Amino acid sequence: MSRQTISNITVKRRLIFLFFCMVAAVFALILRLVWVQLIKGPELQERAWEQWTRANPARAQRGDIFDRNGNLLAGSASSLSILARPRQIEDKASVARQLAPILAMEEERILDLLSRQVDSVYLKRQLDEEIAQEIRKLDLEGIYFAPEPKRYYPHKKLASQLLGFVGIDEGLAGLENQYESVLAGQDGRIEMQTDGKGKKVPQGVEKFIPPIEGTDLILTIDQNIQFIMEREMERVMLESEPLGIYAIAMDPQTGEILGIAGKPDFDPNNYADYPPENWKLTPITNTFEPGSTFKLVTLAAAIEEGHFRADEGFFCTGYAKVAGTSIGCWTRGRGGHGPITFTEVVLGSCNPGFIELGNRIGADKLMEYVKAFGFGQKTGIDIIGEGTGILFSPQQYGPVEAATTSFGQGVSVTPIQQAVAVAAMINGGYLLKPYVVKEMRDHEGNVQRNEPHVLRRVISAETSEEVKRIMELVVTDGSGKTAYMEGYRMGGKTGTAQKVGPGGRYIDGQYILSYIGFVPVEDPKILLYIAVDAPQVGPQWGSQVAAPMYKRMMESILQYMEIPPSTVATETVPKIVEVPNLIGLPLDDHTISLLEEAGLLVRYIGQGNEILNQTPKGGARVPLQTEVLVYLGPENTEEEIVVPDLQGKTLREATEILNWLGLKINSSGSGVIIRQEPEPQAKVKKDTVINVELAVPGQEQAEDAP
Amino acid sequence: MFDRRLIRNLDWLLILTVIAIFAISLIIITSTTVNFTGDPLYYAKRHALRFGAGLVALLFILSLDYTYFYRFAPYIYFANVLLLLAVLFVGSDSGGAQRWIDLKFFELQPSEFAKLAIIISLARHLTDQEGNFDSFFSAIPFFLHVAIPMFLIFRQPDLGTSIVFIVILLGMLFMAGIKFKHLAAYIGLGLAALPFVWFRLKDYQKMRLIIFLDPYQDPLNDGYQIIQSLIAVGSGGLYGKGLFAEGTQNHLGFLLEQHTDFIFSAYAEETGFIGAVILLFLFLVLILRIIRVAYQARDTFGTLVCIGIATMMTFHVLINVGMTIGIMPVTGLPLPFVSYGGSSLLMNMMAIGVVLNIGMRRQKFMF
Repeated sequence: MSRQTISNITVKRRLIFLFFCMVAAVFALILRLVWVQLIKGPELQERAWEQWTRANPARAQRGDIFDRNGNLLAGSASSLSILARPRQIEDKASVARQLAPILAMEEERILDLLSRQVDSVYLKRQLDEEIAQEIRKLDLEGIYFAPEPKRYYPHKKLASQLLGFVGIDEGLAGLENQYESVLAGQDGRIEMQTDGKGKKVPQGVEKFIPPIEGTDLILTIDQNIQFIMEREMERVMLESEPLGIYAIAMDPQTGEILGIAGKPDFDPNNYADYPPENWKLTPITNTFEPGSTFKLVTLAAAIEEGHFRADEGFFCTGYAKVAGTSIGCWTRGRGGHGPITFTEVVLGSCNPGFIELGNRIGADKLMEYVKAFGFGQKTGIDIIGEGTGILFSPQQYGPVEAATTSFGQGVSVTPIQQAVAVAAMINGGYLLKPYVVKEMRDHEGNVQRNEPHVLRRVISAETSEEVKRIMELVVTDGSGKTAYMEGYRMGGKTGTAQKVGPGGRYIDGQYILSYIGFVPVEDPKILLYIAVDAPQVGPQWGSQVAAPMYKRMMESILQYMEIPPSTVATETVPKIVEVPNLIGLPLDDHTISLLEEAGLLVRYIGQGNEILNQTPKGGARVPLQTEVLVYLGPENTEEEIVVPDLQGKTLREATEILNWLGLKINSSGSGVIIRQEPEPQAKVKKDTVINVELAVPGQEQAEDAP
Repeated sequence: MFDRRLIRNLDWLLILTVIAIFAISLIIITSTTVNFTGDPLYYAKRHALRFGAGLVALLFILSLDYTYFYRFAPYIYFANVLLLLAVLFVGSDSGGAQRWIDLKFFELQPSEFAKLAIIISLARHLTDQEGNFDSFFSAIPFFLHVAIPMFLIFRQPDLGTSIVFIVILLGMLFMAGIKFKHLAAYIGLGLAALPFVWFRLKDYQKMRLIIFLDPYQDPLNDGYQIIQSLIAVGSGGLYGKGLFAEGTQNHLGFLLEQHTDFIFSAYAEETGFIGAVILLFLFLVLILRIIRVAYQARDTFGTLVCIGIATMMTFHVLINVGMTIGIMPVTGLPLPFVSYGGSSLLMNMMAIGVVLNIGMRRQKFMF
């Protein structure tokens, strides 16, 4: 046993070699530690924190939506959601048993949720605080509450189509959907430490990362104007049973939308109870043929191009021949308007007269104006889903098409396009971009404001003045008389357009009745457009349905806006008119136009195609806008008689109506009728007694909630 | 019992280094096991007790002249083979492997002691054949010498420990004076045989090697430990999160086997880069001192035994630490003196005893 056989040199060399190998191994480890701990350290630290913590959401308070005066239109109430972390629950069956009755859920369902291989699961969203309290008392391990604001709309249906609604997590329709990212804010979270098995660490760190509150929207909408509009719309929905109504109120100087609504609509608090068609904002999405309101485009273009001379004569035969096609005036039944001036062409809404104006402008030029006024393209309103409408394409656009375009047939437009175009006609010629969001105010108080935006100038200030003058005449002397309001200088135009069916053919007896007008003429403050889609009850005539509704709306709005009556003497409109004799005439456009020209309203009593009687009688002198009752026949031989609506009638009127229908009356009180029994539209036998209750106007209790 | 000169020759620095490493071990085992049982010091106490037992064994080894080991090497070898056979027949199961013999007061793991037994018997075998290593085939008997216990361990199965034997063999062959080119050829042949070994591996062993290459292939199961260990070590940063700190991979239970195989992860997480380097530096000192003893040894047998032990310790450190920082596959080799485990600690203490013994008796004495 000696070491002589291995040389000392070799031993030394090999020992040193081995030693260096070992040192190298340790240094390799140290190098790797430098990389893992010093260079990748912060990143791995982050990963460690991530995997140690489980976060319960703390949802951000959604931004509120206010009207222009700061009234709340959409807000958020606090509510809680209950969630479970299955891994932290030992006895799942017992927890399910305890929770089931409180949450009103099936025990199996809860157990199923608790048995999922997930980190956390919602048991129920948006609980009431009382229920949450009850569950807190149980003090269950692994059960958490997450604050979760619940959306509510204090005025229910008011502006519902504009506002849209919020599902559990996000805005699903309307502004709620469009401004989701702005309104939603940023959710925070409550982090807690958990171990490798997902169990909560008893003394673990808890961290609250606060949510960033959502941004508030301040709209251009005025809650009161919106309310007035919707109130009147609801009323017409009940009275005339149309398929729908559209209404837009805007400031013609700025493009701010003061009110916008479509009916039928919905209650965003219970949106699921309504059909989805009701959710969209129909005044910007729906398109239809505009009819006579579109004639204003032709008028404005003709004035601007110097083709309109107010006193120039025109002879309406009831027809116009265009490229071999005969196009009728609505007065063709009585041989046309006859010899009139061009001013009267507008007042009488004479189709051949407008065809002549269009012809003078020239087909291409006319189309240029149509487009310049914004038709055939989106207005750019800050609401998604806007329709564009349809104009004749260059290939289709011949003389006949130009002629029909000049009086508003064969084109389709949205209500908002019409409102914006007319605003341009009366504000000095500026086409504005309409908008509904006035301001966005974030949680730090930073304000982003939308300003009026002029897209282009379409007509001159002089032309604008002339259009206003003529539109005022339409109200004082023309077809717009039924919306005349004493003391105010106002302009307006009615429209009656036959509806186009799916096949492109007009649907018989289905009309869209519209009215567009503004107040006051000297400095337009408000522009109001309304359209009633195919009323199923009563007359189908713009001046008979749309104009009275417009008038009621405008009266209330002017009162609310405190716009005083014009001090300048207005054109004197005869306040007393003579009732035309209608007895024996057929119920047709011509007959009703006789009433319209006189500025009278009509109400049908009974059914049939012939006018058997009328109240007041022909030749009677009555105030403007008096309602003339027209009794239709032949008399209904059926047993069933539909009870008329007698609300607001005097006892004498009511007796007369009921006698005519073959019903008896029994009255109590004095004044006008405020209540009746049976209700209107009820079907009763002949000689049934109708009980009516009368009261002096102003003393009856208002039943309609404001 | 001891000659004063023998005590003077004792390598006190080596002893201090071992005590320092053990002190670190005691602290980190306490930190990792504080929540395991009702008694927060349960594991630390047992670990210390075993260290005490190890000291007794160490003193006993010192009391014998190491020439006894030379003399009894064949008996040690065969006794060891018998123990390994016994494991296969009467060993207790744990985690799919059969590695332990239950002695009621102690879970004996013969494969740990096999390492030291092989080092001693192989050293004698090499010493006896000294000077006969010129032929390429001269190494075959030594391969057979190691192959028998290695095969028995491989059957347990314990791939990591089997590989330790190959590394020890290569280190000692090299030190015994085998030719460089022959050594290179053996390694080359071994690598060529790897595909054969691959098919003999259990699925979980294959998986460990695969996920070593890409732990994210299976981040929830087999890759989990590697990923969690990397996160633990990395998140320690420069200074660490502090011993017994709240909110660590270790305390939150993301690390598994944090007091045995993955103890270095917990240690590096809590003491950071600085602590990790201190521990590695201590191991470096330990290895250096063993090599110093190898150099000073009075005979080839002593040198070879020391080299075998140095190789074994280095390899354990390299594989164990490397595994926790993702540069070595997961093999289940303990970190010497640090990992919680009786057989490993006892064997390492005995190995240190042998080294001290050789160092102590480096001079020839006249009796």
